[in-house]
Amino acid sequence: MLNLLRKDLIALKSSLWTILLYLVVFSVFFIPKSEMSIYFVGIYTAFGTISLATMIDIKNHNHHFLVTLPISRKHIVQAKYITAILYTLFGVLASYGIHWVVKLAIPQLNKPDYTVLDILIPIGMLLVLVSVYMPLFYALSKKGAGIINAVFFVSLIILAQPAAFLMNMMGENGMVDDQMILLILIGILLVFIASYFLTIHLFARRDL
Amino acid sequence: MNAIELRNLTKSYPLFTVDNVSLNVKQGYITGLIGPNGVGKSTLIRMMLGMVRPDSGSVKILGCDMPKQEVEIKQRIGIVSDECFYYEHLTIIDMKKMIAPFYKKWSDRKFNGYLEQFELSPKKKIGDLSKGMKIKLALAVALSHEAELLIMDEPTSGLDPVFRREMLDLLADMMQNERNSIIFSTHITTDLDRIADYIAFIHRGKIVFNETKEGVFERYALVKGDLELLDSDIRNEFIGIRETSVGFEGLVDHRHKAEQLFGDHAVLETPSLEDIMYFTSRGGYVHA
Amino acid sequence: MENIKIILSNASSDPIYIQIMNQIRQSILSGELRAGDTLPSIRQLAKDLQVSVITTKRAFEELEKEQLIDTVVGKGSYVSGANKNFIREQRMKRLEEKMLEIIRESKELNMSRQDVIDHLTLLYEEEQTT
Repeated sequence: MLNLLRKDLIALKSSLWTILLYLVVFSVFFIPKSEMSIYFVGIYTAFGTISLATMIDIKNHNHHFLVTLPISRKHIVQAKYITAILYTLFGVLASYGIHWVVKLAIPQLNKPDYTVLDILIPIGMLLVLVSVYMPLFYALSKKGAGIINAVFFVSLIILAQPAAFLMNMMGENGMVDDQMILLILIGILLVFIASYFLTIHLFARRDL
Repeated sequence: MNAIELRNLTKSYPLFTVDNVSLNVKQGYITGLIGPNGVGKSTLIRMMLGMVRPDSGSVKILGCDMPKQEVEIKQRIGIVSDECFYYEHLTIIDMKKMIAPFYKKWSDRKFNGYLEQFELSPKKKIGDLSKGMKIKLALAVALSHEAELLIMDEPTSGLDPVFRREMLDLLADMMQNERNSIIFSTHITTDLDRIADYIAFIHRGKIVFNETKEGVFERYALVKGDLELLDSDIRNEFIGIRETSVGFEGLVDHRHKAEQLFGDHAVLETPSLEDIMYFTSRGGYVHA
Repeated sequence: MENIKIILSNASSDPIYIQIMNQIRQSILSGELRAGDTLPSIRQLAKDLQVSVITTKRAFEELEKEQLIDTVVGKGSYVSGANKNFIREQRMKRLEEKMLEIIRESKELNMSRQDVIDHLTLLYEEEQTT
């Protein structure tokens, strides 16, 4: 398992600059513009990284490589989900870190105070995104994966505004209390786990 | 003992079907898998590697079941293919750092030895390697974790003749240990003419034969003679005939019978594997 | 292990295993290989000659049937001492053929029998001293 993770990280090594670029570009774009920038920067960076990682896999016929190694399909999927979680944490925490610094350095932007929720919610959203993305990616062929990435990318952009609006509304209307949040988080975890098993099942049967 | 046992494998594709194929690859020998492109050779290899799941049938490698014991099996086998699946943007040493930890029996000493022998610089980027060098790299990796079985899919296509000979020598080295086995799928049959012990011939999704190379060359004969010798009965004796204005050339798979039939009236020669493939694929008459 | 010479010819009509057999048999009968000398393993020979190990195996098996070589599992093959008589007979036969050739040749040179014997004795004595 560790080996697979190490492998993914080594492969991503050369794209480190691209990822930092994402972080910078999204930060520069969203921070001045939106109150919810902490969400956008985190989600876009994290998902961008996940997407980048899968595109590297495809470009290098990764599965053909993996099939020569002593690992099972289950391991491959496990590693993918774990790295997705890692990239999610990276994106969200990096975003939080940047916003914290910005708040100190540029108080004129009037960034709101951030709570634990501001970390949990983007993580939750990313987990849901990943739960949908992974089974699709593993069920479809090389060409399909490229299309999925494009579709997700476009939808993220389109859905950004309405989602932000929705969340604001929910927050203000007091629709969400602690119990609700707990339930939602548990629900998300269940969806994530279900997605994991679904992906394993789909991938085990598939011809590469 | 068989290094590989394929039993009743079936897989349907739109263009062809691998139809109830069974094949034994004997341990301690080099088995060549020949056949024209697109008729099931690669599919069989992919089924051995677990890349393709058969519709029905079973695959056993080194006595273990695929895909149930996939991980154990892959510890003990090496794979060389003409498709380069390493990451192009990484260096050889990076790739090694990625790969080596997976193997229980990895030997850095051996790997570095091969790099030196093949004149591969560890710091070179994989994308900068020529095709031949990439295959050498795959071979170095395959030979550095004490693999007992080498599965090779078109390993020599695109290689220059000098390196092809070197590679065959390397394989012969590996076979000094009679526990090792090699299966070598190729459409460049001249390589197998030299080095193979057994030949399996796949045609249109079926195994035409799987026997010792010697046996094949003793059994098959190329008959060359005058067109006058041919009539419809005689034509039926042939697997494939090529008729020209100056005579005919045909393949039979029963040399002794042909000797009796034609006696001194025709020339009988030992065909090459290429001849066997050609005439079997064409079948019937080929008017040049 | 002794150095045995085996050179294969693509042009020959004999199958490869027969060529190998012939050349090893030749070396044994001519005395180049002596009883107890080890032969290369079938795999080593296959690699050196660039032929299938099944071919070398077959050649060795046939030579074993002729009792010219023995194979010990796990150790390899070596020239048999068992068939000394057969080998001696074969060598005698070849010597006789050479002698007949000498006789024929000397007749063409118009040498008498005594001439031949004298010449032979002279050469014999020269050989003794070398």
